[in-house]
Amino acid sequence: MNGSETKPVWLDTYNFAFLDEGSKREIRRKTLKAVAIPGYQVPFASREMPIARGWGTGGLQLTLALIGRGDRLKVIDQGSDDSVNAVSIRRLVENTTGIETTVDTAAATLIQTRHRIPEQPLRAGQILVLQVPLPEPLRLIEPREEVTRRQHAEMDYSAMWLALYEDIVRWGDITVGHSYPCLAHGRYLFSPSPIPRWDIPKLHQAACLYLFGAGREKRIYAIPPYTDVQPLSFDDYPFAVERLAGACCRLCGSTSTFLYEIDDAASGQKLYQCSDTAYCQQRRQERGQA
Amino acid sequence: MMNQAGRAIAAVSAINEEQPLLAVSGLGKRYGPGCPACLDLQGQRCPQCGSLWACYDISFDLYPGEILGLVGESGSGKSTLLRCLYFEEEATTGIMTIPSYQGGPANLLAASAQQQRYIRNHMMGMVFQNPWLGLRMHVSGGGNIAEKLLAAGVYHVGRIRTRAAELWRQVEMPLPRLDEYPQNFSGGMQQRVQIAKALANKPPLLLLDEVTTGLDLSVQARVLDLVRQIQRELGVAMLLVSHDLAVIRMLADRTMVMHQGRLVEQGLTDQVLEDPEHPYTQLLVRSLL
Amino acid sequence: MGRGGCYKDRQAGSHCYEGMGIPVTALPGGSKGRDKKEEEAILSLESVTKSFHLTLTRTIELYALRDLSFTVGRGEFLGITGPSGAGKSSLLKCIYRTYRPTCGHIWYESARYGSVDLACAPERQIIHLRAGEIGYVSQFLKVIPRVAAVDVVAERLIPGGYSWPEARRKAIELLTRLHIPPELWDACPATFSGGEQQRVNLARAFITRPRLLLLDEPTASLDSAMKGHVIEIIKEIKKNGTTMVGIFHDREVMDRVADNVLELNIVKGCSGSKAEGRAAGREAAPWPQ
Repeated sequence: MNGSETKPVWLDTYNFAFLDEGSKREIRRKTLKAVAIPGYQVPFASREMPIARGWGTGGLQLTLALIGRGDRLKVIDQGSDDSVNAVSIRRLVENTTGIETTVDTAAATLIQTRHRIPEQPLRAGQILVLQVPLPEPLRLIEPREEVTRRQHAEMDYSAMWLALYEDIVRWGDITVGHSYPCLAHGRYLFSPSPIPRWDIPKLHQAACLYLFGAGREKRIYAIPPYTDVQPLSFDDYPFAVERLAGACCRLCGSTSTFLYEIDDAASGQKLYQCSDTAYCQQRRQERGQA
Repeated sequence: MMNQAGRAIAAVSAINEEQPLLAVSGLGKRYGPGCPACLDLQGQRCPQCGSLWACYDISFDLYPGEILGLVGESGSGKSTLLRCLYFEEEATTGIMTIPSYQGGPANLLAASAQQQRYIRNHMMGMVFQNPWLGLRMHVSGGGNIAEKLLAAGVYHVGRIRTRAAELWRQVEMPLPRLDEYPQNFSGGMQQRVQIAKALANKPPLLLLDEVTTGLDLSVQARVLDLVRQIQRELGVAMLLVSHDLAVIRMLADRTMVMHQGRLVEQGLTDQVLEDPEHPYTQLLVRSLL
Repeated sequence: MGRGGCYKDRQAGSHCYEGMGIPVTALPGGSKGRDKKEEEAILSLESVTKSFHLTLTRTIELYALRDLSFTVGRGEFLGITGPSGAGKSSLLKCIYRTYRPTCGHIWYESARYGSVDLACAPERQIIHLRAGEIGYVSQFLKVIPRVAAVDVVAERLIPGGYSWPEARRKAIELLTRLHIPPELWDACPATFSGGEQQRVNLARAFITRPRLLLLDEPTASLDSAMKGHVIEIIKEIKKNGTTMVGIFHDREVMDRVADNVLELNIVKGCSGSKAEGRAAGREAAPWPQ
């Protein structure tokens, strides 16, 4: 972008990518371990960052530890490249590395995201870093870390299944909307971070690498390429993604993307819009050219 | 005339026809680090190391379909023994085998946590004196049963509910209350739900810890009737812990007496009650009859 | 030799007489005439002693039976008489193993196990024998309240593989024969009159057609007409080959059913017998302490 014209003083003040090399090395090692054990939460020494914990420090530390001079970064927040948080993180990385950023999913080598996976399928070689508020899928059912660790160790996920069963008994269906519990390669139960159900199938047998960073909870976990990811589901209540019957994006007309509901104050109508702004824009450009 | 040795051999081979469902030998549970002086102190804390043997050198066999009673005063180690058998507590010493499980000889007290969980889910059910230990109070009654079925790998809501309803009927609970929270149930009903939960995967063995203690007499009677009916209809073997000799007399075929962490007597229930040999048993029988 | 040592010996499967150097076959008294009857004997007591070692207030040794020997032939009815306190009930309880004999052997020719020493057979064996071969009619009916009379009787058949409807049908048949009116079948025997209770008690024992039936004053609470019915049934069961040992207060009733009579006297030995010396005994030697 315009990094070369007004070169910020930080580039000389801070180490490349803000973190010191020792910290980066530790995070990379933990990441390798996470890749080796899909879905297993690897503890790491989460650093103090120049943004508040809970605002994506886990994802940011992964990004900063992994980014190199040849990378192109994309940062999205709930599908949008333009939200305050996305812009702040993008600027921080630009200012401390001097590398280029992009909004184009296909052009990016490294994507940091919160609560969404881009609509455009990711290819081999790309890394998607997800910010995770609650890495432990069992935490809401079992508050004791000692117990949840044992449950993971023994692969005893009956408590999770029981929660889903109770959901069905009470509400007629599984009401989990985001952070849907999934099994990584038939072994570890993991939280895919608060992505909608819509995005869950993208985790299964994907070509790219998914990394999950939880700064406050100090955990890193990963879904490496071509890993089986199975959302927990009963034989008679199969997993299903969200569907809005008859809805389409008011901007690009898409019916095959994850849509947001918008109340139009003027008309009192419900309108829908693509959650993935970059994908929406791209579709509109393509249609305009056509 | 058949000689003595011949008779003895005949007797031995005849008992060998029957294989125990559960065999326990030398089971002990010590709280504390332990030292050589500890063992001589029956039921008391060791003055040297502060350890306590809650159970010591417990050996018995439990046969398929029988009800084995376990009596003793509070603090005699009955519940600790049961918790060790259910792997809730880690036994300090001893061997426990289930001959029908994977060929039998392995000591289950030393088995992996997964194996122990498998046995708990498939071969045993436990009913606790305190329903808060045996039930999840913030999960529906049906959900409590489902927990056991899910642990056994039944991932089909319809089938789970069919089985839960079947068990619900078996323990004579009103079907419309299947999805209610157990904390809304009366004490007797909570025990019924515990029994239903314990039976979920049709285990051959139930461990019952003072199931009727603290219940009204009439409720107590009906829970005991249910226990008897289950034993009769399902042929489930039971280890029945109680300090109530009337309960033991009514239900148990054989009875063991525990005192200060040790088994001081075991025998046929009528024999233990009418011809007690150990001084403690004599005291117990005379106190309560 | 102390009593405790005796108890240990028995548990190890040996017998205290061996420790005392007196061979079992050389026992005096009852051995006379036994050799030719040996083949027919179904029950044979050898020097049975039962003492109670009470420790409750101060240590007391009470003797109920001392060195008692006799045999009962297959299909025979042995009546037992004697003043109260002579150990008549204790004798039956020893044979049924409600009491554990302190010393001696009680050889029983079992259909299932062959020759079994009831004094020290494993408890599981006793349970099986009680379910299928040895019946006991106590002086008073002791049953679980809340269970219908028909089920009290029918449940005795369940271990033998009968289905409940079939068992109930047989139970009703027997209750009818014992003149229990149909309106009482579904009532609990605890509410019955003494005579009715005793007939239910008899039905419970008769229904399994045991090979050996022990009767403790079965007609004591019955009027003379009812005694007649019971005697008729006893005779019929005897005709089917059941061996019986019975205590009767009523000498007249005993004379109608008993083949032989064993008289126990108050010095806790036994003093000869009425018929043919088949059930011979001797004055007890003082027990070595």
